Amino acid sequence: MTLIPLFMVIPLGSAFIVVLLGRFKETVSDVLATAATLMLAILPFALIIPLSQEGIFVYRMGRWIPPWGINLVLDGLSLLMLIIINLVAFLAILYSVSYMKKFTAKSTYYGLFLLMLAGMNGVVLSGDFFNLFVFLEIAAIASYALVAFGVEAEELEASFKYMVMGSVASVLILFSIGLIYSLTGSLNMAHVGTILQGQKGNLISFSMILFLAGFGLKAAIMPFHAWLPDAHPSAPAPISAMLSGVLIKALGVYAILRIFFNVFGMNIQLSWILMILGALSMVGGGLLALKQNDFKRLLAYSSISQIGLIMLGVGCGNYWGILGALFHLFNHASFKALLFLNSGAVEYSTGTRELKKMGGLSKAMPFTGATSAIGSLSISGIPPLNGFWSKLFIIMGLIYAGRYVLGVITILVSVLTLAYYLKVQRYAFFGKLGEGLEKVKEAPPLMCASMVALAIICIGAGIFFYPIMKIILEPAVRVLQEGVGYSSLVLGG
Amino acid sequence: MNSSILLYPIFLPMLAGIVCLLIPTRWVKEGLSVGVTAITLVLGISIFLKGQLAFVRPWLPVEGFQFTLRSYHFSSLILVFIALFGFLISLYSARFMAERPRLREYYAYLLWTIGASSGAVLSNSLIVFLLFWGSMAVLLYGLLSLGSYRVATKGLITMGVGDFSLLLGILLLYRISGTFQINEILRIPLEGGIAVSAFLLLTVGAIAKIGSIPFQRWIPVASEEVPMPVMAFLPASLDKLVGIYLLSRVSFDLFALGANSAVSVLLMIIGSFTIVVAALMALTQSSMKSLLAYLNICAAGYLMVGLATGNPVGIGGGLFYLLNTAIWTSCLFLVAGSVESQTHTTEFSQTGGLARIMPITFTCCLIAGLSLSGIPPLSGFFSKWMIYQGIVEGARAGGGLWIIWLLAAMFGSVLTLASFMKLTHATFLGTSSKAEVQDVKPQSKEVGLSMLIPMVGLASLCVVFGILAYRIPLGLFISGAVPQLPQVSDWMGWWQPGLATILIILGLVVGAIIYGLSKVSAIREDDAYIGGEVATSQMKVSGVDFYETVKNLAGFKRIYGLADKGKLDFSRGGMAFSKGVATVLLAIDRAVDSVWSGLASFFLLLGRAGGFLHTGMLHSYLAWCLLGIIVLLLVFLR
Repeated sequence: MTLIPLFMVIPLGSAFIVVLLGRFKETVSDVLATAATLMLAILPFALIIPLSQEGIFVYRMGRWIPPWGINLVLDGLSLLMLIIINLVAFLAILYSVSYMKKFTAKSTYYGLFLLMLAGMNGVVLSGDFFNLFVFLEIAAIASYALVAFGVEAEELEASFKYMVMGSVASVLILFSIGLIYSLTGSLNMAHVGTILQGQKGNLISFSMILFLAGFGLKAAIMPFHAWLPDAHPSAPAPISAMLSGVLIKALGVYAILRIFFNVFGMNIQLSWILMILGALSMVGGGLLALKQNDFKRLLAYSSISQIGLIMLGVGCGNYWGILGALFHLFNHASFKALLFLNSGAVEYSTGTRELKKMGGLSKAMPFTGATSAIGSLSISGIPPLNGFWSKLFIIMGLIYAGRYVLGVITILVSVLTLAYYLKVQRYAFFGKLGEGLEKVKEAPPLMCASMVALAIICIGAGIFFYPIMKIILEPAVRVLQEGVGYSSLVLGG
Repeated sequence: MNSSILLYPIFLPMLAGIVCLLIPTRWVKEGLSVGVTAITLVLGISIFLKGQLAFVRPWLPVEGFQFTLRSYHFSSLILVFIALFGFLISLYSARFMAERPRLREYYAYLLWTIGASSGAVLSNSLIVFLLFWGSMAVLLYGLLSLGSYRVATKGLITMGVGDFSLLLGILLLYRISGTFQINEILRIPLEGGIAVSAFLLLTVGAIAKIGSIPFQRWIPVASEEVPMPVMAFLPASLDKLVGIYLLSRVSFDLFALGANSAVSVLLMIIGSFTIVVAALMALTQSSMKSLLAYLNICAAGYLMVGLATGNPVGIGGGLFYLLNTAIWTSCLFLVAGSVESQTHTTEFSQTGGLARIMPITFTCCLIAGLSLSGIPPLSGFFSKWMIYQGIVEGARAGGGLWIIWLLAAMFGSVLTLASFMKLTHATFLGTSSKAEVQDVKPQSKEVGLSMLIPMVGLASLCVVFGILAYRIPLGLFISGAVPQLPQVSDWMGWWQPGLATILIILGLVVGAIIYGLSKVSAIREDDAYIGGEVATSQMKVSGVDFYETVKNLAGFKRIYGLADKGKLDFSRGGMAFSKGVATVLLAIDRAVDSVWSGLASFFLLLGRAGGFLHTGMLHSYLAWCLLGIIVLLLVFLR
């Protein structure tokens, strides 16, 4: 399947061209970046039908047979991730066209953005550990720069913390990859999977711990989350949307799923670890979000909570749990990106992120108000929006697995979620117009357009959850449920 | 037999209602309404003539949920009368409602109400019945809202209470009988808590519809504000028809209501209390509309007393009275509408002497009113007589309290006549009032033909049902609905309405002859001599104060005082009760709430504690990571 490398080639190539051409005229870089991401957003949908016929695509670079050489693997899970990443990226770029005007060096921004996108696409497609690491670093380093893009003191500090923590994570991951290489003599994930099958040993467990800690840091699972509440709010809003909506999932959750389900193979111990860490993050993130008064910081803590929910669903390991978790992955990308874009629009128009300084904004900013209400209701799991179904599936999964206590906790956290999003709505959008906000205007049309598009995705995925479940999610669930059978598929194919 | 004819009286009016809602042209709506109700009437009569029909369609894919309709003598009888009133009201409305706003809604609600009540009467499944019944309540809200939304809300609350209790009753009934098919439930004996409470709940649903005493309050209020055709249609005729239909089905088909049982005594108490209180209230009303509203409530009492006797004569009397009361009350409401349309008021103090201007209306009013007061040979006399007879029959079966019921019924009858005299005098007789002088347009003395036809039709039904009582209402309608009704000669004594009529006419003729013979000389008409003063409209005796003395009598003074203060408004008692319940619930709610708010502040505290851990110090964050890795190591490498 020769289309697969395009997911890296297009953003990588356009990243450099955008920076070069942007020197001459800014609009050129706008158009180019939008066109590139649009193409990338359409591409995964074109692959749905061929993939459903073939089941898996393995692309071999330079025709080297899998255990050797570089190969790219596209299966249901990767496709789901590609859809999420590129859809949100396109809408974030669309939003950036207006939003980033207040920053200088827009073309550099696009360049970094596209690099980050190339890194994420590479992570979800690559079939060997080393490339996974390389792409992960590309995405991570680009994101460090993007978090610091405002170059104010606060942003630089956040970026520095993020970078230190991120580097620790990278070291842990790299060390673990080294361990794996020394144990198996291979870096190809499928090959490693076949070799490790049935083996046990302290070193394997140690490498698992390092992976869990490293990717846990990337995914911001408690107690590895501390960088996120600083880094995500400091970035420009579209980047926050990308980081919270996509990056932590592509670099963190996806990698954990792929490595633990398909390479090491799940066991009951891992399942408990994932569930406990997930529950911890879910409750902790929710509680911390409740007391935040900074719009974006609240959203950042909420991301920790939602990632915890996803890990909880994955951890319980049955069909409904995994389905719910993957659906929530998709949904969280849609509504969290939407809410970060909302916060950006509010900041763009009012110049503040303090919830208590806002008020009555839905009158002045009808699109932002309406879409943020949809996003808030959706993330709180109000039917028939998409968040409801994914939470329902996760709770069903927990109940089928017999984890009633965790199910009840999930429901309670859902109430907590509603509580702090109602707080957002109440302070920012309802009631009387705040002082000094009389002249506030709605955000520019392109920003509104991408917010509305995300809101439509929230509603549409809620109403048409069944086709989405059948067409996009079930192949991904199958990949995870096959577990280590992944190896034979890749190597045999 | 093609039983799908049962669908037409339900869905034809509903369809026409939709058309009326969509088409703005006035005459189309009027024509359609009159035409469709006429067709419905014809359909109703043909269903009546066909006897028993049953229509069954699978409806929901669940056992026991079928769309079943069934017509038999009683239900198709009610159907005929629903259609008849629908037709007459439509005809009357064409003129009366012409200038009013929201005409589209009016005709749509009217037609839908006819469809829904036909459905309720014909349905043979409790679920289908409940659906139609519930939609009637909603449509009642719509129709009353033409007057004011306050009244509509009041009506809807009353109906809502009834419907709720009906729903509970149906659920209990299902629990007892295990089926939703009405004709499969056969006279469950009233024994045991569940059966009695099911019966009482269903009864509450029925008497809320007919407007008996705890549920009467909305009718007088509505009569002041709602257009008269609506009053003539809903509380006067339709609600009584379907309510009594339900009550008698519940009492004698679904359950076996024994004569003189505790439940029947309870119904008797409510019924006779309603009669007396409503009749007393009617006496002192100061406008035609509100007086009629109270007479209407009074009729509900008679109906309940008739049915609650539990013996065939009483039930037959009750059903006969049902037909009659529907006829005369709606006739009187239409009369009130005609008076209102000509004088713009029905206040007794402002009307008077209209008999000369509106002779036909006056005649209709007189016939309907005399019938209502139970003057022979009109229909009211006969049906009241049957109810009395039923009460006495009940005494033979051993009820000790019969004398109270009988006295209440008779006392109510006397009071009814008295209040009707007041109505007639104040509106049609006496000196003309300023309303006549100033407001009546000279070109429209009597109301138009389309308004007269319904009134005349209803008034002549009063006469026909009285004179031909044995043959038409009893022979055709009632005996079919109450099969155990014995031969008329067994219980009616020497009363022969035909003979009586002949004697009365004879008497009138003789009187006329004597009058003619004694007053041969020419009569000089002149104003009454009042000591040389010129009679002005200020000096007229309006009739408002006819029964002020009654009001001031020692015993009644207190009752009226209470009524004026609204103490007899039993919905207030209900409200007070609800408030009490609400207070208790609020206390529980606060208690639960304090638990929740405690929980909330606990969570906030936890959040704050978590906030203290997030110091922003990079090394502490790294320490956490290290801690996490150590824990993982301990778990994995044990």
